[in-house]
Amino acid sequence: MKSLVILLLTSFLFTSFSAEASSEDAPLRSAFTLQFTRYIEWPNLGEQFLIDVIDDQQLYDSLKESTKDKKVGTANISVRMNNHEGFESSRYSKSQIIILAKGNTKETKTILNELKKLNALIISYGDDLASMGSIINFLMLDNHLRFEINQKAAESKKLKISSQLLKLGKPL
Amino acid sequence: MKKISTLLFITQFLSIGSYAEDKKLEEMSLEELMDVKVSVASNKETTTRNSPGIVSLITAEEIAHSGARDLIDVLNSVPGFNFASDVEGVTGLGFRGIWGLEGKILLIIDGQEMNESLYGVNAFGNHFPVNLIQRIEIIRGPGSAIYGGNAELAVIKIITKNAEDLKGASATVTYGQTDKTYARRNIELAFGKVDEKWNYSAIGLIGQGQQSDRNYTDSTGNKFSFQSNSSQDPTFLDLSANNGELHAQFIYDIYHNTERTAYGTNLSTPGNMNFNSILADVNYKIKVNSQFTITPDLSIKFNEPYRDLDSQANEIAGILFNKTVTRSKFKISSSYEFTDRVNLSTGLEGYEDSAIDHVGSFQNGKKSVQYYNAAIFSQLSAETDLVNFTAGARFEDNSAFDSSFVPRISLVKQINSFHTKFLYSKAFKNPSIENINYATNGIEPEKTSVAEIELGNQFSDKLYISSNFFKIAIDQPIVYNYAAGDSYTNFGHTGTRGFEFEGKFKDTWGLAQFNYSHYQADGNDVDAFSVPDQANSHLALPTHKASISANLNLLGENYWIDPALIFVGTRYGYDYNSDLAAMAIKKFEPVWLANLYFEKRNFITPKLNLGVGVFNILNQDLNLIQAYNGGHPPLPGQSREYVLKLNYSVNI
Repeated sequence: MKSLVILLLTSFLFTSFSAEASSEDAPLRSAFTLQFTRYIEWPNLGEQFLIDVIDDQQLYDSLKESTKDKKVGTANISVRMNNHEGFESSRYSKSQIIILAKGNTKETKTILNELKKLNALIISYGDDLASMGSIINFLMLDNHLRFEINQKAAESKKLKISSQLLKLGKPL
Repeated sequence: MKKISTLLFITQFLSIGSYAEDKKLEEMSLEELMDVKVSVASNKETTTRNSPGIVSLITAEEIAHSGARDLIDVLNSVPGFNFASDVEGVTGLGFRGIWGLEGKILLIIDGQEMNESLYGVNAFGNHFPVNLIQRIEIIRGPGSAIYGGNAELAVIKIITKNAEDLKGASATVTYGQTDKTYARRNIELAFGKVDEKWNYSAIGLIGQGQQSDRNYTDSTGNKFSFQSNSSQDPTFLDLSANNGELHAQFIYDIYHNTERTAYGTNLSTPGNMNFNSILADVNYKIKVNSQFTITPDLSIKFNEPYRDLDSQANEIAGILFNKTVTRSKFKISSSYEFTDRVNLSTGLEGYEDSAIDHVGSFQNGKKSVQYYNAAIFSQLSAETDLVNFTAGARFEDNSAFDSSFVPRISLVKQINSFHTKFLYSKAFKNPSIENINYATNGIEPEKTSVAEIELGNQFSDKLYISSNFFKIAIDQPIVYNYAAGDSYTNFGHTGTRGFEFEGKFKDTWGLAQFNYSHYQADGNDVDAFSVPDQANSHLALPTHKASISANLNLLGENYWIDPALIFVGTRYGYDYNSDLAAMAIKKFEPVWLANLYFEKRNFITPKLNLGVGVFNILNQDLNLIQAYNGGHPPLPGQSREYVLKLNYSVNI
């Protein structure tokens, strides 16, 4: 009995800490994101439509692939990978969409708080994040990806979301 | 209307969207994307790892894949939980080696506390609509600081499918057959609609079941077959309506049992015994501002447990029984976000219990009694760079017994894939109305201390392992003593210590899960729970339990094969001994429950799902031993059962 307890304890204590589990739904979120661009009226759209991804390499890879030669209006889509370490909100001042990695961690909340002042569509993925400043928050329900929409936050950033998207999303 | 009623008679299952493999994701519409099924590796673990408690989550998918026949199947696969028996054929839950039937384990369905208010009991066995559960959240540890005097050991929260989940009508038919007779024949119906203002849903279960088809020997050596003598027939209706922040819930639960075992010496013929409950609740969440919400909640609960008015019940004193109790409760709770990392939740709660004895009188000579209870509770949660910290407490006062104050504290630290939790909680179990009624010399709340440590690691996106260690100490446990004239007494001390281990492995082929739980009696001086010459065990509850199961998706997206093996270790209990012609302690050898369930989704039509399975393949007898020395022999377990399920759903 004692030896089993010791074995269990040591198995935890001496294990190498691996990175946080990555999501298996990145291609799906990428496709959703592409769809979102079509259901939102973007103010002051220039030649480039910039999507910033923070801490989610798989999503970045999927988006990079799926947005090849795609446009939003007349703007070319550009995707950029970022790391939360040394986060500076000024880096995102030209972003149309900023996507956070999955999870409701203290880093996520700190970043969300910083991003509130920017006029970008912020997409998150975790419990309660829509009420903390993101505009679209993904949720996993019964093995299907769903999303909730914080319309008030969208309006404050002058982003007009189509009624069709609002209908499919879960209102906050 | 005709269309709806027709749909309600068609069987259903969860709507599972399928990947249109010939179509790329980026070419799909939003509606099509929402139908795509996703393989989730770590969502659940992420949630449970950050919780300030030891938590199990069970999803609708897992329940469906396993073919679970009722809540007993679901909880048998959760570490620490074991079933045992009370008197009158009632099946109840024990947790971590402690018998929890009378108000020690809280069962919540859609926010409503289901423990009846007379004894605090939940009776299990073909009772609740398991196929209409969206998810189950189990706090494997005390919840008294939040939930009060019925959450001493654990809290089981069931969330059924709501309007959003259903968005249409569904039906599930379950048929179970043993070698001798039917084991269950149930129909579960559901309807949910979302419109611009209102979301409303109705779910229901109506059915018939039999606890076992084996023979039972009573405490005097008389035998009878449980076939046709152990019915468990549920009628369950759960209505829900939401309009913005307004929420209303209504539950109607009539659970009919055939009663013949009485207190150990059987009745000459079977009789009818019911657990009847009606619950209603309305609450409204007021958002004062973006940081502050207040939720007033008004509820009423009517219970009529152990109702037995049949004439043969007069054969044995105490069986003829018809007491009702109504609990009227008002609660107001608030949540304040100081910052996005600091939250304070506070609440006030008051209720009146009003009980009536319809066939006799209470021990004080009165036909009715009233008791009043008031509580205040608060919890602060803070995320700091060092650790996530939760501290809370509840103070509760009752007109019939001493007050309770139960603080709790939890420290949760996550470092990349590794997490650890340190939890310490005080908890309590309030005396029930019948505890007060049958107290020999006054009665006071049980006072409990629980210390827990959890360690867990997400080794990869496929493998997650966690383990916890616990120590439970209960002072003044309320002990039932039938031999001493149906009485309740606060008696000395009891407790357990042990550990639980869980491992999950997920890959493209599906999910495999393993868990093991162990307890040792620790400081028990209650004779009614102890096993002679086995100081480490408590009656009825095995010191070792293990479960291994898998959801295998090997034959294609719509085919699921679910093997499961549950090991229930050696148990001890009192049984009729023919050599002695009396009840005597007995060792019950370990039991292996082997199950195999096969599920075919999109069977014939896209919305029809078929499930077939065999439960207890080895035909072993996982009997239900009385969890205290109360003179009642074990109830026989269900024998091998062949199960067929058909499910159909229609979107409206």
